[in-house]
Amino acid sequence: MSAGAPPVVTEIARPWWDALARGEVAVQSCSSCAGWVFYPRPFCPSCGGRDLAWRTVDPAATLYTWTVAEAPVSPHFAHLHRPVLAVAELGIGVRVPTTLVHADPDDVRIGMALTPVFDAGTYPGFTLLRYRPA
Amino acid sequence: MDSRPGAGDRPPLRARLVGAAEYPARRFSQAPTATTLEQAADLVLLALADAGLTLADLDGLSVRGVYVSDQFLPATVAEYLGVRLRFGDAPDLGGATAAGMVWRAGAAIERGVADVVVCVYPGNYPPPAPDGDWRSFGASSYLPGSPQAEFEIPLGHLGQNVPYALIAQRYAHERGYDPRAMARLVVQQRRNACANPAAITFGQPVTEDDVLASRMIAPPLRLLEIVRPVRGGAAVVLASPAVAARTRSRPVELAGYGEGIATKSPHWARDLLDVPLREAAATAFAMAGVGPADVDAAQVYDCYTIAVLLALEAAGFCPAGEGMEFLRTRGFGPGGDFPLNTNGGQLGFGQAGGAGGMTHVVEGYRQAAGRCGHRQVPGCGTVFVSGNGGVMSEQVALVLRAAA
Repeated sequence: MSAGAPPVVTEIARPWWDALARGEVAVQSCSSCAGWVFYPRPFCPSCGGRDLAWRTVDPAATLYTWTVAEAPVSPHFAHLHRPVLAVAELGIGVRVPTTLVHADPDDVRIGMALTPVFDAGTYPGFTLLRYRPA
Repeated sequence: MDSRPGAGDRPPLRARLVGAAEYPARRFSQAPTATTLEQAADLVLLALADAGLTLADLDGLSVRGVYVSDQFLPATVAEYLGVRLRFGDAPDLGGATAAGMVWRAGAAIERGVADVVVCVYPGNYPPPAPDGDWRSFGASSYLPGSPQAEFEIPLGHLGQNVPYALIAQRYAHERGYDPRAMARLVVQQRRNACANPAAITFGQPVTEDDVLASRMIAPPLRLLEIVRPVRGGAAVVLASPAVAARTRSRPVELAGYGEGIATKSPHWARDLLDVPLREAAATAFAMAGVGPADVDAAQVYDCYTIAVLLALEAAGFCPAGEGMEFLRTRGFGPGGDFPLNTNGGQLGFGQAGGAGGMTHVVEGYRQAAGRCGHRQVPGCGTVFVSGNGGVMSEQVALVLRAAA
């Protein structure tokens, strides 16, 4: 059983992954309603607009929700000790599934400020957006 | 025409629930060796017999949980039974499939497409998936193009425990949390299961302290707040009024139904606590011309305690944010002031795979039909049933009513 599961990347989301590899976060913005779109799509689910542009945004976030996998979520992640699984909310309002690193579960609080951690070490060729307490 | 308040200009509600069958919950080691196709046929025959009907009456099937094939399920079972059908269905609604089967069958009957439809779900689990197939770990896809495969699974976001815990933590933040109230819900459902010999936890009551001392799985969710997988299976028969008039037991009206679907994964929900059962229940209650206060018993899909809490609020049994107080103060036994999951629910009965949702339908039918014996809710005229698929992803509400 190999460890983890690398992302199955789509062409539409390539700019997301390319930005992470540069240590940046890029998100689609809708030219019709000015809304932000994530995960990437060829249209805006808020207004149906199809004119989207990638923009680099501030990667700092706050913690929207979290838990700890006290029991492994699957054999592929059983090597992780008590991973803190989380949803982070960027300043633009977009939320991303993530994990917290360097975080003591006893000190985690919803709403806490988070600093991005660009993790290029888990899957060869991919950079993941993780977070740590600010 | 249906002149009940709230019926509006909807067509008359004609479908009746007239019979049911349910295997007792079994440990995996004690599961029958019959194939899922054999079990589906057996359950159809048992349910028809329960109604006083035969295969000659059957002209519709809604079926899932038959793992001899990934497709053509209605025809596969029809061929096996040796019947010709006028209606076939295999809804894809996860734990809401059973309730979704029932209203689709009811709608088919109301439009005259079929007269007798059996909704059947053998309570098994799919064969083990090969290594690398993420369905075996609770993900529905790791295929190219799946948002899960790109943005969730690589970070370890998969399975059910974690996403339900993410919802519960957010609930705690926005509306407050009381672990002992959740424990009290489990205690009462386990007490209900002790009146149901078919339940896997029959004879095994628990205390609030037992629940609070059980192993933490994903905070704030503990082991006893999570369903236990079992083997089982169930079926329910719906019929037109003309057929229902010659069945064995008191028919139950399918008085209202509704459905709500939002996000496959809760990570993408705009509001984690605004679950689609809100729309489903509102539609069902309006159709039935009743409200939450008119319900005599509720069979609420309970894969996790948090799922029950959110369902009670979304369906309007208590205001948003007052669910914990509801759990602290109400009585959920058959003689309580809010009979809830009177057969033990899945937390007490066990979760027989996709048939887990069917146990709520069967118990709802039996309560409204007055067939629950020593766990019968006195004067049970109106029953609310909910289904929940995925992670509060696909939800269905039914209102069942003892026919006049």
